[in-house]
Amino acid sequence: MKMNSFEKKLLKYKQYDSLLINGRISDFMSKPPITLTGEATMADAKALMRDNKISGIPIVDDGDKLTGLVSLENIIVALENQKINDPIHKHMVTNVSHLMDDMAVSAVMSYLMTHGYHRYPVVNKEKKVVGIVTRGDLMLHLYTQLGNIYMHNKRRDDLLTPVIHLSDSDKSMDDMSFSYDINTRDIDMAGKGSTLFKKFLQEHEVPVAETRRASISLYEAEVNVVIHGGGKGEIKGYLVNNQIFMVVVDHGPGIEDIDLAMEIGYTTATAEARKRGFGAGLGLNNIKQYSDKLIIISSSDGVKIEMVVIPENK
Amino acid sequence: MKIDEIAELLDATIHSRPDGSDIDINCGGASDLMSDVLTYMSDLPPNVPKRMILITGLMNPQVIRTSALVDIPAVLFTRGKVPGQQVIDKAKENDIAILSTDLKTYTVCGILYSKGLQSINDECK
Repeated sequence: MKMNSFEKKLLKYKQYDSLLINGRISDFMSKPPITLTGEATMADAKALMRDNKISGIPIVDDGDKLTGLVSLENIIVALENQKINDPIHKHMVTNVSHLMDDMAVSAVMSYLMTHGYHRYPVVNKEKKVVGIVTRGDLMLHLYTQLGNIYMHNKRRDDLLTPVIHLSDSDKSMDDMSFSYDINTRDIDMAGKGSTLFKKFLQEHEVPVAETRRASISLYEAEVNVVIHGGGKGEIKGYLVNNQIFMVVVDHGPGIEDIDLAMEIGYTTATAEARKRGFGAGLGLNNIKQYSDKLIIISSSDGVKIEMVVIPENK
Repeated sequence: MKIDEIAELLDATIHSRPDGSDIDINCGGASDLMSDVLTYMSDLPPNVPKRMILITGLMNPQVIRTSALVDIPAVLFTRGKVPGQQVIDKAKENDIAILSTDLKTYTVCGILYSKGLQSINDECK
């Protein structure tokens, strides 16, 4: 049965449509939300924004109900007018555009298109703030649904340890960085970068538990580059505030279906790789198990794996 | 159990005996799958397995690399696999003792277990 081009297009749209219909906002909002009450000062809000690298905070009453929102812009104005020690309720935006936690993704899309803000509190039926959604969250969710990005964030749900976001300027700021070029198709050679990175962590006195989790994660990712990624790639590692950031990029063919690749036992490894004790379909799962945050982005140009290991709170 | 005792029990050859490998081995684990070795480390405290011997029928530098990564101090190759210079050098570089025996993996595990060597656990530090 041959499809004409119109039918093909229709099928494609239907596919995209299902991305929008499936899923609720609670699947991808940030939770628990970072909130303040109106009695806190603008200075408190400023500190919280800085520490968590966020640009807006929902303001709630004693019952967690949404009463307003304070944005970076409000902070700037308060600073300019020397009102930074005022309580928030004097300067916050009331009548806040917000989303409901049972909204479908398609409804969120159209809401965001008609409202120009970057950040929206999500409230439940009782008007209690249960999460926050940014345009970026929605985009990431849609990419995930398309199957070429995988995200795992073990800590976000159960801890409020902020994961530091790296910008390029941070990376060049200090000498706490590591880089290694992978250039071998020889499985016997795979793992050299991770071994060096382990030494790097030990030299920087990273505790043994985090050192182990980070080096195992990196090792699996490095082996993947050699087995699946054509043998050419880069490793970058950074230490920022005791958090270990690792990025592994390869220029191989990409992962066709990341969700499938994440399944234990699924592998596309060659017999040669299996003979070497790899290719058992455990690699990505080990990374997931040992790192606190994992993002895999795959395209036909290659794969980028970002891993973060965060120390346990003592 | 000292490396020498293990060698004697299994009629094994010692290929690498770095400084500090005169430790008391108190547990063992067997696997031919290096990712699997890494997987089961997740249930253990980070300072474990400092006194483990890894028993494997797999022979290549990755066995040493995996062991070094999780601080396994001793590796035993079974079924007559003799380590090459590359493997021996890498082991010495990482302070890992290396033994090889003609016995099969199952037999090796049986003998060591009967002599009191535990399966890898929290105490293996």
